[in-house]
Amino acid sequence: MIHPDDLTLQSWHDDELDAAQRAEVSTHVEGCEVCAAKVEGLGMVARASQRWLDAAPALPDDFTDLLMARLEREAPAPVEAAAPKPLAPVVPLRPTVKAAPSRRWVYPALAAAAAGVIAVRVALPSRPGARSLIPPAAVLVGGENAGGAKVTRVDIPGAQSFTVMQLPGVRPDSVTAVVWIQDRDELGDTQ
Amino acid sequence: MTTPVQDKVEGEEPDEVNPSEHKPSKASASHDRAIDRGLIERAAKGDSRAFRELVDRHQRKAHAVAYGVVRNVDDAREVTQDAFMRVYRHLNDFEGQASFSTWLYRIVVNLSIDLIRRRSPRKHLELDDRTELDGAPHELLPYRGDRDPLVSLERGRIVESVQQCLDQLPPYHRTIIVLREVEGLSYEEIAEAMQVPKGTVMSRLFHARRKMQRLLHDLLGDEVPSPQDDRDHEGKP
Repeated sequence: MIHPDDLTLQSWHDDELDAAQRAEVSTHVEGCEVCAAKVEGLGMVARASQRWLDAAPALPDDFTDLLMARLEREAPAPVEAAAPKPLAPVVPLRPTVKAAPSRRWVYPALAAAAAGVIAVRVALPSRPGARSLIPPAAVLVGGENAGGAKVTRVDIPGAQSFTVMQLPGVRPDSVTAVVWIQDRDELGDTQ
Repeated sequence: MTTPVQDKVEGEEPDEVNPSEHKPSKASASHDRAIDRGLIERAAKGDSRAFRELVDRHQRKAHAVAYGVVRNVDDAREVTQDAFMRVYRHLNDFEGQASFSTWLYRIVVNLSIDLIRRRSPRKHLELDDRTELDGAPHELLPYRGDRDPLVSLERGRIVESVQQCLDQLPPYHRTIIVLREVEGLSYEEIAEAMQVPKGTVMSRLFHARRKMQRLLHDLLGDEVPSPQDDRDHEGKP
């Protein structure tokens, strides 16, 4: 008779064998006193360990309360995952007004015009009292210098958003503006 | 032939514990995972009630593992609390593919081992298996009898004896005994919790059990059957 090795018997006892192996070892153990006794020896260790745990002292009833109090003191909030950070706080250019009914052909034109205005206004000295062509409902998400580029995003609630990247031009007094227009659908929950 | 689990259910004494009966079914485990994932998502967004529920669901098991490894009530409580603190701080790092329990166990085991190391810096914890096997039997020890000897023993005496056995095992053997015999983790889950290969889990579990068998016999004397020397049983024809 070929006995399964002890590791295989252990795996059988722990129900870690695949179906074919399990069936083979089961047949053997059924007819082999030696192996059946070894398996029973394993069971005894398990039962003794379980009884030990049953008698183990429990945590105090106020464990969770104490833990939550410690969390309050030491860890006010879970560490955030590496979520993309906004470029800067949202700064309304004007008091936000309710967006007009969607007229999709209007907003692309307004967005392009606004982007152009921003680009031009960066290139030219601003004039006090100059009229803005940015729509009343537009929201400017502030600019930030990153590697020499100035990034500005303008959101038009209910319509579109566009990002303007202003890069130093070839001439010292010039600026190259790149405008990236996004449909509202692409922005998800951006406001 | 039935599975080992089924074998033990039949004719069992009322207070006997089936080694695998506390292991949840696959459907139940899947349901539990879904609940845990939901709680983790809510807790990560700042819902403290969700985190409290998560703690309530897992604190007993976390504490059992900690207690099994550090063997001191106060230390186990400290480790359990530290483990949940760490969980909270890293809720966003939890990967949904793994079970929360396994992730928690890994943290508990690591903190427990760290604590033992701090308390006994000179003691080498990662002993070579060959070294710690000195004096231990070379095979699984058989038990031949009509009745489980543990049934007739006083519960208190068994508990005390197992405690003494665990005291004599190195921490990584205690850990593996607790994760498998007490918590019912699969080899795969133990490997993940202890961050060792599955083959190492099998080997360590085997050695830990053999040593436990020998120690139990030494402590409980004649009431636990004497290990038999099966020299004729070498896994050969």
